[in-house]
Amino acid sequence: MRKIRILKQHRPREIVALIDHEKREKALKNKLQKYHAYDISQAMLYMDKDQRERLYSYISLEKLARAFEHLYDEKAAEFMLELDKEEAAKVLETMESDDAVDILQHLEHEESVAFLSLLDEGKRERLRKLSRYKHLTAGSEMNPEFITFTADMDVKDAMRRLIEKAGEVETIETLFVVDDQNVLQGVVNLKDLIVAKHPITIKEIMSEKFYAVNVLDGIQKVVKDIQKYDTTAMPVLNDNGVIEGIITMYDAMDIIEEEAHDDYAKLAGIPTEDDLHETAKTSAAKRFPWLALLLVLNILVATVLASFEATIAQIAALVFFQPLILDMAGNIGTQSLAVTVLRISRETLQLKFNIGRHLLRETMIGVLNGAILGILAFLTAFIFLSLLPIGVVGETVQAAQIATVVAISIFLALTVSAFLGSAIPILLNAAKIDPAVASGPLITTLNDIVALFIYFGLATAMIIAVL
Amino acid sequence: MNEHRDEIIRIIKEGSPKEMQTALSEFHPSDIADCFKDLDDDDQMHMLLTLNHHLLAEIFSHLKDKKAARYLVRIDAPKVARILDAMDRDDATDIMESFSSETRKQYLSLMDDEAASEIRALLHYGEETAGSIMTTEYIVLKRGMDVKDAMKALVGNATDAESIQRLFVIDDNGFLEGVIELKKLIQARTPKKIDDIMKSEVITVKVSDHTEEVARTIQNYGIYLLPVVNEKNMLKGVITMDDAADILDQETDEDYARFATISAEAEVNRSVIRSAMHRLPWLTLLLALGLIVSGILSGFEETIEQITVLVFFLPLILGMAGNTGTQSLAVTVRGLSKSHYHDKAAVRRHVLKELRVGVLNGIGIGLLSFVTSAIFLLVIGRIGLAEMEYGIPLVSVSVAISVAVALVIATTFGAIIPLTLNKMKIDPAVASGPFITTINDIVGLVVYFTIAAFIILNVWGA
Repeated sequence: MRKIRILKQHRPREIVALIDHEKREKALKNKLQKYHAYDISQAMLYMDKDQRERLYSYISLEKLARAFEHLYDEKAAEFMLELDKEEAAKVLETMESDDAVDILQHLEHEESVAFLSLLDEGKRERLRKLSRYKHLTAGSEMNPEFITFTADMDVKDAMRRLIEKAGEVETIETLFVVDDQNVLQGVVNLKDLIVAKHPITIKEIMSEKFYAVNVLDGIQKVVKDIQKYDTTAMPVLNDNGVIEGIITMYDAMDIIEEEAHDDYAKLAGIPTEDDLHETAKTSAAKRFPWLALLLVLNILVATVLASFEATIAQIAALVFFQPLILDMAGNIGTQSLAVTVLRISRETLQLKFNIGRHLLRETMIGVLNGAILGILAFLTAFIFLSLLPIGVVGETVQAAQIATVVAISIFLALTVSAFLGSAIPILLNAAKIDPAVASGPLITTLNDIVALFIYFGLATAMIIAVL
Repeated sequence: MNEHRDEIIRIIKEGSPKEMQTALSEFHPSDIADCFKDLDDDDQMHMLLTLNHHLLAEIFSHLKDKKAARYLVRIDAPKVARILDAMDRDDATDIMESFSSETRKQYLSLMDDEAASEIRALLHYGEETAGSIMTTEYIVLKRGMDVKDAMKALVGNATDAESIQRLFVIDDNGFLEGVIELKKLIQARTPKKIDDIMKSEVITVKVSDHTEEVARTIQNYGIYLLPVVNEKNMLKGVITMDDAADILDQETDEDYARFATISAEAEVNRSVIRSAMHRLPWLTLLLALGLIVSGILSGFEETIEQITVLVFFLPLILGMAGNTGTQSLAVTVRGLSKSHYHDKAAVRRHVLKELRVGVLNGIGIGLLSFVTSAIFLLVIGRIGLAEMEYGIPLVSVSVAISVAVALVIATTFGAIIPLTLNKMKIDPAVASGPFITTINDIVGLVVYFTIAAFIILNVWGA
């Protein structure tokens, strides 16, 4: 089996130690400057407020802004309030606009207005514009800073422009060619610009065949396109073809991670936001609603059982196998659910034909495993019951009868659970609901209900009715 | 998904050989690769024979390695060698790994010497290591160079490099001295030396480092081109961000799948029987562990017979314990893979936190289950409970206390078990599920029936 690998995490702790022990101001400044902004951001998470305030006063503005870009939004917003107003505004101004907007959106309205009023006008306008786009659209995630040329520019002038603007943008690997209305005409690969010799115009080295997304496109599609076409910077256009921003491969990586985290969290029934640096109270409050919902569903399960009260009262031994059947049905359902959600997210279930084949396949897996486990369960349950002291099982009921009911129930419950585990996410997806919403616990509870019906229903029909 | 699909397929099926080459060049190779997979043998062969090696190289970079290898062996060896030569070295190496050693030798002997020796070197590195995914096409500069000369060297070599966003500075023996961001270089003016604009604190990975660590490093630090060095800090290759994105995608899928005790890789294109066999072991383990639960339940047979109504809430208690256990398990596994628990204090802090979460939710859900179970019993309104002294409140209290206790224990175990397994070098994402389920079942039902037996039998004096 594989071991989870531990990454090198010593750097953040080194930084915390530095803040605590390095008393020489100049040395502290120099040493901090040498750390990567990501390490600084991680160290901030391990510091208390006093330590962070010491950090703020010795670190360069540029480095601090980069560190804020690496923090996740809630924490970044919280730390932003520890800075004094002017300093915070400077940090926001230095940060990339997409990250700055994320932070502003996590602040109280008055606070964010106060910060905005301190920014220079151009930046303020850009941030305002970005914050108007709906969450999870290309527009809300794009970066409005990029480099543009016009087609008739000479490469020498283009190079000059690139040198002048390079500091303001995230990546210069892809450059954009626009007309006077800012409509995107083509893209220039940095390599081609570097090797091009004056006199030659941009038009001659640009590629008119490019991939772009619309500001309103869903972020998932954007990420898939970036990965598929290996673009370091995907242009984001409005309906008129005007370039409004770019989404970089680096942005895409973060989004992949968030999406995966979301799916995973839903499989386990935990809230999607980062759970790792919160207090117990916040975590508990976030997990509670889910549990409360499941509790209510479990009352339904109790209702099913109550309808079989007579059967249970007559053959108490049936209860012994109840957790076993429910656990196995739950597990096989979760397996099918996970396979299905993965296949949906990899877009291999687009055609009706594929969907039918997938459902059939999952159900067949349930049938096969149900049959094998049913036989195994018959044998083990029979031996188990025979070993119990006489009188526990009841005199009129044979161990073989109960073992048969257990075996058939496992077969049927596993088959149905495998089917439901794959059918429900597909249905939700068809109804345009995120299929991962059908979380593991939800499917499990549903399968509990089905499995109990099968088990006690069979017992009633096969044993009680015969008695 | 692929809006050009129909058009691409039409070109392949109907176009003359000459048209096919020019017409397909207009599409992204990734789109063509998508269609290629779904063509029948004849059409595939037609494409392999017709298209030139440059276009085929681009298409094959986008196919999965094993599939690409299977298609390539069908055409004549010199053309395969040309195709592999035209690909990025890391992609060519990936495909090479899928050939038998004899075929591999044949192709390598047909390639030009430089390409062959570079690929041979890459083939040396173990699977899933940085060495196996790095590329050797990058730009190096020597210390002491004037920025103008550096720029000249860049212009001369740019086309061969996979990316030029960063340039690497080495000494005469190949040791990595620093990196230069291209942005800095183009802004610098002679007589500056590259030493003046070079950054010497460089984040690197070792050739033997695992690909997941590589991907995380690239993601965390936002590095577009990550240098790979050997034990002695000699520069051996670079890894690009798009490779890291692919790895991250696969790894997160694997994490997700393992949590549900399946394997994402094994589920793709496997026959039903093989998939079923793959999932069977965990289910069998659950069956075996489930029998232990049955054994313990049979010990409470008397209680069950006396008060059947207790059974109604059994799935509720076990289910709720299972749910909270899974929640804290998922949080903990996530934290492990992001290396949040790097020292004892952090581990202790995390377990204590989960314990506290368990207590808080235990109280909340406990109260809620008292109310709901009482309502449930009132509505069902029979079972002779009402006639018994305090029948309904007593059963509800048992349920509530059991849920609360089970929740606290399940939440704590959900954190402790993966941490322990990880320490024993067993993958916590895979192994935790069945154990957690069983332990929660046992804890849940023992607590429930013991409390119920105690309260109810004492009060009713049975």
